[in-house]
Amino acid sequence: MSEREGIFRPDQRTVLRLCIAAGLAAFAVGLWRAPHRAWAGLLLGNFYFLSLALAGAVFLAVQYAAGAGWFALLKRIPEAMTAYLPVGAGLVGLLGLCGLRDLYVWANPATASNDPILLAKAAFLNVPGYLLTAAVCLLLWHFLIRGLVANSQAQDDNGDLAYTAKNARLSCIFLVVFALTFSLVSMQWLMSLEPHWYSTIYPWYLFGGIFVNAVAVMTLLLLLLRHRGLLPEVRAGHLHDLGEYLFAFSALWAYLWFSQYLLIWYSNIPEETVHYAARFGPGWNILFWANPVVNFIVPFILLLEERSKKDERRLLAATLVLIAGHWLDLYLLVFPAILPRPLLGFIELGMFLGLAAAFLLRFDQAFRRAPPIPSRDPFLGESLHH
Amino acid sequence: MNRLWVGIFDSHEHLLRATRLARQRGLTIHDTYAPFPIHGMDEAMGLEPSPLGWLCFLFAMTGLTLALSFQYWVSVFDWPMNIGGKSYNASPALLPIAFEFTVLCAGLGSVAAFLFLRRLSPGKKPALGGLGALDDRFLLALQAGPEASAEELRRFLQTQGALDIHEVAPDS
Repeated sequence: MSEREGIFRPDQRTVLRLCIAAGLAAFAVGLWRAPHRAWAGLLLGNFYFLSLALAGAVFLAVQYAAGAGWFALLKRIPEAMTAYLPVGAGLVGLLGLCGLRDLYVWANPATASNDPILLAKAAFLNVPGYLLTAAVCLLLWHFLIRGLVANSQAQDDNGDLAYTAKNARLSCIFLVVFALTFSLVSMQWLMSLEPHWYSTIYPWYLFGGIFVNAVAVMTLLLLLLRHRGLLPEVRAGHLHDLGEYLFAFSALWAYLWFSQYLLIWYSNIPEETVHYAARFGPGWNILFWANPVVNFIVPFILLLEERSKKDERRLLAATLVLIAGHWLDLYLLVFPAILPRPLLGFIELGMFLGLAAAFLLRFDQAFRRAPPIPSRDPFLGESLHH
Repeated sequence: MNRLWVGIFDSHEHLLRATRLARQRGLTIHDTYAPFPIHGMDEAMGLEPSPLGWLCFLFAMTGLTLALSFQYWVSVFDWPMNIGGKSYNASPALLPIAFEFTVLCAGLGSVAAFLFLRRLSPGKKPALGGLGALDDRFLLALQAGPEASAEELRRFLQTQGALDIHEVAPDS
């Protein structure tokens, strides 16, 4: 069988492999010089790309559950984005087995056993519980998402309509499972970096961020694929809809970001404000206020006009701003708990680059495995005329 | 103004196709009428982009400015109150009301602008009232002129699959 066209040329794939090597080197240097930075970098980067795989699947599931037709032409993109899931699962395992003590106060018996608040939370925040929750969630995601993708690609062979109905049912199950499991892991993986603090809107806020980022990456990958001459059937209507998703969910993220801030600011209770107090420290405060600008105000202005959602260059600018903005958002969730001042060195940058390369390579590999257009999808005709 | 020739169609696809073709042939399209908005109709009729989006933005900005300045005036100048020791011009507290008022002004303003731009008002007689555009029919109204005679319009509508063709006065 002849090699299918992907998003990257073979020489570009070699560059990506070198980036992964650089990421590994950064991780090794980190483990040697500053283990807490290395593990925090792994937590941030792996959560970033794992959540892209997950939110890509959520996007797919939303379209199936709603019986949306416009999307059929593009569905191979989020399908291929989910290919990072096994890599991400492996890295969660590595972090869970080797890195917890360097990251989480509650995982360190020396500090946790003298702390009444942590003792009270020990039923939720403990090492075996962390590993078990992660294993259960990752396995559930893996099987549900693999089912969605396998059904979709099996339909290419025989065009059986039953696959679409099956995927609609599976999507509804996945969405419910995702809502519960994602809330759980977002508290355990990220919120527990500051285990004295809690916020009940945190999983929602995080979801707003990962979803808009997944749509941004999907749009970026689509634009890159079109740049390579693939998916020429995509019309302005598809870009417009993706632009609307970006616009709407960037606003949702801002709404949740502000809701969490407003209530904590208003009630002014020390056990709640401690999270923001850390982010108003020197160095962090500029990043903190830059966060709503890059994640909401700039995309809002860029995407407000109808024609800017159909214009590839403006859409590209908005996706790049959002993709960088989401990194900043996660950096502000993870690193103030680890470092006294913001720091961005070879360890953080190299590891993020390596994980990004791993994500892109997995995407490219998975995208080339299946035909780029789902030729027997019952909604394809509707999607082509969208 | 010349009299109108109205073709009655049974689906929005037929209406859209007939409208596109009428425009390609250079016929004068008076207007189209349908029970619901049709995607792509602006383009098929060759309409200019609607100014409604920008008007909505303008109303939104007006609402935002009004809400922020009014709250600022109330809580800093007119009636300063100490709430939990926060400063009088505590901006986060102003935002929820500013947001709601922005949305309210944008929404009401857009509806008012739409009604004004389309010259619509409660109690207005529907255009081409008896022909079913308020029910389940899709109408294409063409105007006869130097580029096409009445007979040509009638034939065009017939070949496009119109169920029925009416000749009406332009103000009915």
